[in-house]
Amino acid sequence: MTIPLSRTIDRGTKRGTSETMVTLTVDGTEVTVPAGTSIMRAASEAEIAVPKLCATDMLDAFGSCRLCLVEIEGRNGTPSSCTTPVADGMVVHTQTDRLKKLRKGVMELYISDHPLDCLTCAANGDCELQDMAGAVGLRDVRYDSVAEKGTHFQIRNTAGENNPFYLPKDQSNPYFDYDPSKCIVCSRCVRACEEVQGTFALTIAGRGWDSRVSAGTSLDDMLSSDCVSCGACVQACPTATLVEKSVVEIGTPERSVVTTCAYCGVGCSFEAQMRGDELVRMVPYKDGKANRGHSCVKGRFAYGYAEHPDRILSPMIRDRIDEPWREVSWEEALGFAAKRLKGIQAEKGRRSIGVITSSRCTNEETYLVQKLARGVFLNNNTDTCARVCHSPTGYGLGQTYGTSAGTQDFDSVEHADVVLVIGANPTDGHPVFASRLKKRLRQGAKLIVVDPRRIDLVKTPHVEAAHHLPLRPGTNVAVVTAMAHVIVAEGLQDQAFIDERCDAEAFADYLEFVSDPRHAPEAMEEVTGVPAETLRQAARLYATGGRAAIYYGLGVTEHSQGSTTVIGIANLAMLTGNVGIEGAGVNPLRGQNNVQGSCDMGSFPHELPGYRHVKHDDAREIFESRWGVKIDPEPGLRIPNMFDAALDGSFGGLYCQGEDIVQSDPDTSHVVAALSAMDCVIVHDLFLNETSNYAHVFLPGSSFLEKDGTFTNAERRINRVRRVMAPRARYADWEVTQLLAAAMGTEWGYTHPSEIMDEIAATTPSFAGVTYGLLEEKGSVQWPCNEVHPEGTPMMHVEGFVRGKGRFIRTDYVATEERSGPRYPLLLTTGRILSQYNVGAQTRRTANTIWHDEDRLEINPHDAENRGVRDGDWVRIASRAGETTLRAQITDRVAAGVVYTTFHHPDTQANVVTTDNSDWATNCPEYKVTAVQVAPSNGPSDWQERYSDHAEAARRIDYAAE
Amino acid sequence: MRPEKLVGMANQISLFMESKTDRDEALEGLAAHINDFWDPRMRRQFVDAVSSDDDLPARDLVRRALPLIRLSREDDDLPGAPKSPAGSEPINPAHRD
Ligand code: SF4
Ligand code: SF4
Ligand code: SF4
Ligand code: FES
Repeated sequence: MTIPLSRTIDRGTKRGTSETMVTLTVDGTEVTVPAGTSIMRAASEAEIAVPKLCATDMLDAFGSCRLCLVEIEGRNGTPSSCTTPVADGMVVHTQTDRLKKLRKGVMELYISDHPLDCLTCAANGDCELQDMAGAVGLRDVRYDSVAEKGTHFQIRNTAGENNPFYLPKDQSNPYFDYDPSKCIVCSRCVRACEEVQGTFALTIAGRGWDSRVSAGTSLDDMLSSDCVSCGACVQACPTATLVEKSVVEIGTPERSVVTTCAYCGVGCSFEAQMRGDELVRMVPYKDGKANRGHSCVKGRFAYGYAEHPDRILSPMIRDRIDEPWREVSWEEALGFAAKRLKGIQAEKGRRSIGVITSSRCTNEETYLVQKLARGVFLNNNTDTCARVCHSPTGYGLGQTYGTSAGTQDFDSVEHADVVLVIGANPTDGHPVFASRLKKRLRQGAKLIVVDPRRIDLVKTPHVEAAHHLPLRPGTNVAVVTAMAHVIVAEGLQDQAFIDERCDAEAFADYLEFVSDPRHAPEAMEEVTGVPAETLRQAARLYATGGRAAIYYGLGVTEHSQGSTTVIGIANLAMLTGNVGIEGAGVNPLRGQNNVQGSCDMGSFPHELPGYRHVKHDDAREIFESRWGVKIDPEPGLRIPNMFDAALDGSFGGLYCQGEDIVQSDPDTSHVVAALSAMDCVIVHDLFLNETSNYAHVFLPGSSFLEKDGTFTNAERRINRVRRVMAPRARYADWEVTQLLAAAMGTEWGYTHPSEIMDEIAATTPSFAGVTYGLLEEKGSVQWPCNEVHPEGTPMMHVEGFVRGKGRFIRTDYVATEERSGPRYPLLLTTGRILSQYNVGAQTRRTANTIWHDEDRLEINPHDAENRGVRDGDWVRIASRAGETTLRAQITDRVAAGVVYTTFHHPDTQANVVTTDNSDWATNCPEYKVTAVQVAPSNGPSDWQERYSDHAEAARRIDYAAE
Repeated sequence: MRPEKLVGMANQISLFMESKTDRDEALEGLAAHINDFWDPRMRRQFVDAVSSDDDLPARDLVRRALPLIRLSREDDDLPGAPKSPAGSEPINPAHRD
């Protein structure tokens, strides 16, 4: 959808939420709005724009600029329309002689302290101050007194002395500038940082003439302050005071295309604001239902990787991985790949090649990649990186509720009274959701955090967790089961809900299981490290505190008992009747942007699109009749199984789209050995990544700006991705897969991704109603979207569970084999940080590195001292799988006995250390627990050095003679 | 695939299933899980390994589930998975020194 630039109209304040409607007259026009709405908003809905400066509809009204004055019949004075609520029968005038004069006066005062450099200003043409000066008809500015007192914008005063009020530009943030000389102190930025983002990085320092917007303390600049660079203040600023550096450089955009962020599972909608085919800036889209006009630093600013010189724009091949790459034509590369894949199948059988779909690519692309495996390779060897993050969610929620997806939309958090966050770090991993969560917490909802590490949410400005359960890594099941024990033992369960909605026999069995005193928090304390009393209080709060929502992340799934924990979480919600209502539910926070979609699209080796097992004849028949092939009824290989089979010699070819398995999968040396054993590894990506060091074919990928498609976010919301520029390497990713299929002998004939979506809708019941037309009309829909729910389904399991009766399942705690012992006494757990994303291939190629230029090992002061490690020292970290080195950061965020690191940088190779342990049900790797030892070291390990030498050699390209 | 690894994975599934009160359900659950999620060559290697080696540390339930593991209907028309080479030597000649 291309929308005329700027602006979705800013109506100044939010609409009231009351059910009572009120009718008033504004300038002779009748308008009806909910009680509690401001006059300004009501006027705007009647298409009357009252002049304003400090009001914007992303924020609460503030009433400081006095530009929005109106007159109300029968009332004295000239109240500000942004702060005055409507009343029934009110008669409002917005344009009278008196108002005009007053407004001119207000503007004159503002402009007398404002540099008049509109023509060379970055906001020229996109400035509310300029607009308002025009709107009120300001023609001259008299206040010379201001100039005498000293303005805020002149470096020297009229006497030639330094002007103490002048502050220079702060350009420390890599993405936006702060120019105090243009500030009108409307506080929109300060309020945006508080209300929308919840970081409280900005304040108004000083009073009266002295008041200034200030980031952090007087010694700070933007960069050193608490600012997380979300951009909310930049959007809120009506002037050029806070402005994107890209706008300063390029100029204002001329059109805007609504699309979806390609980073995390929140799936924020953005306006890609363009000039020609140049992207000027990304601005969060106010009508985006996942993000409601907010964003984080990654989506808002870190898109520069799409233009990075490292991008590979020509296909490349090589016979052996120790040779340099050769640039070739698309035809040659695809022909080479097809020939090799067919050769492997001829020699080793049909099931000897496979694909890995990407959770970063669109639904349509993912659908085609699994179709390539099922319909062209004729096997089910398709898997996705979701294997390594959320496959246990699919299994656990499928078994208990009957569908493998989160139950709520993000809006639901606005109704929650208690929020239980388990194994997730939303402020870093899902920042926009975190902002919405924090907003609710500031309104009084209670928070329980279950995490080995003291994540930011536990205590941040104006938010504090009621309980933090710092469990030992690997004991989630014990904690969740103990909570259920407390609920049952103290009779806090919602028996009516259980009787009505859940399977009685399964519940009776579960009750017997969970009531056993061996699950009591006191009995589990030894194992979990969580004080029994804290756990009891948390359980009581969850069960009795009102609407209780659970949000969980990879800290739940990436364990040997990941699926069991998901089941335990589902049990908790059923036990307390927290399913099927607003403000409650079970919500997985998905890692990458399209994890949900890649699972929905049949990426898993046992499931056709729509979660139907391949063993079912009726499910296969739907695709067989459409594709004209016989589909293999046997489950295929999962990613770790592919590696094992490659080492066995029974698997030799892999098409890997948009994933860097060498960096993201555990036990790197095992992965590397497996890839080295294959005869044809095809990497389809933007950059030469770690996996491509072991590849024979490189196919250039397209960024999300270069293609059409859809992403499905963690709330099951299908959002459009829209092409704003031509693919730089000629083909969008879906076209490349189609060409590969053609090279293998199967013509598909799609001419646009919408045709792929039509096929998905025709074959997959939960997508039956989805078309590009509907998405155009609604903006987005949440599946299931079919005849019963033609506009999609914001909340699942409302009347009853998808599987019929909810099923309680026993969740016995089984200790992971990964235990600390004398050789490896510490437990390593891993995570991510805000400014980087996954393996960092994109974010490392942006200015985001200013916040995180290396991975660090967090270690408790006690453990550090025992080992003679000082802050910033190089340390060696070793597990039974391997060892690596990185620098230490001493902090009590991690408990003694636990160490923590991120995995964004390839040089760190944190996954050299992680083991091949995995979830019992899904083989999702156990990233979150590895027994390790830490010791001081002098620098990179042998492995790291060998690895980087090899990587360098493997990346050589022989450029074709021009 | 290494027999120890397959047995380890089966044992993990078994531990979950063993918590069920109904022993039949546990046994069927274990077999069904393996049938539904393991590719045919893994099932074949698993059954071969466990039935031929009594020393493998397979849990009791795992051993009892062996007869319920489905061996692929279509194994016949496919070249069988080659036996594991000793160790994990790369088969790609390019990578042997
Ligand atoms: S901020 Fe607005 S009013 Fe001020 S110089 Fe820039 S364009 Fe003109
Ligand atoms: S960018 Fe975000 S965090 Fe930083 S000051 Fe602005 S609103 Fe606050
Ligand atoms: S920086 Fe912008 S938003 Fe903030 S007070 Fe100044 S003019 Fe208003
Ligand atoms: S817009 Fe109402 S007082 Fe500023």
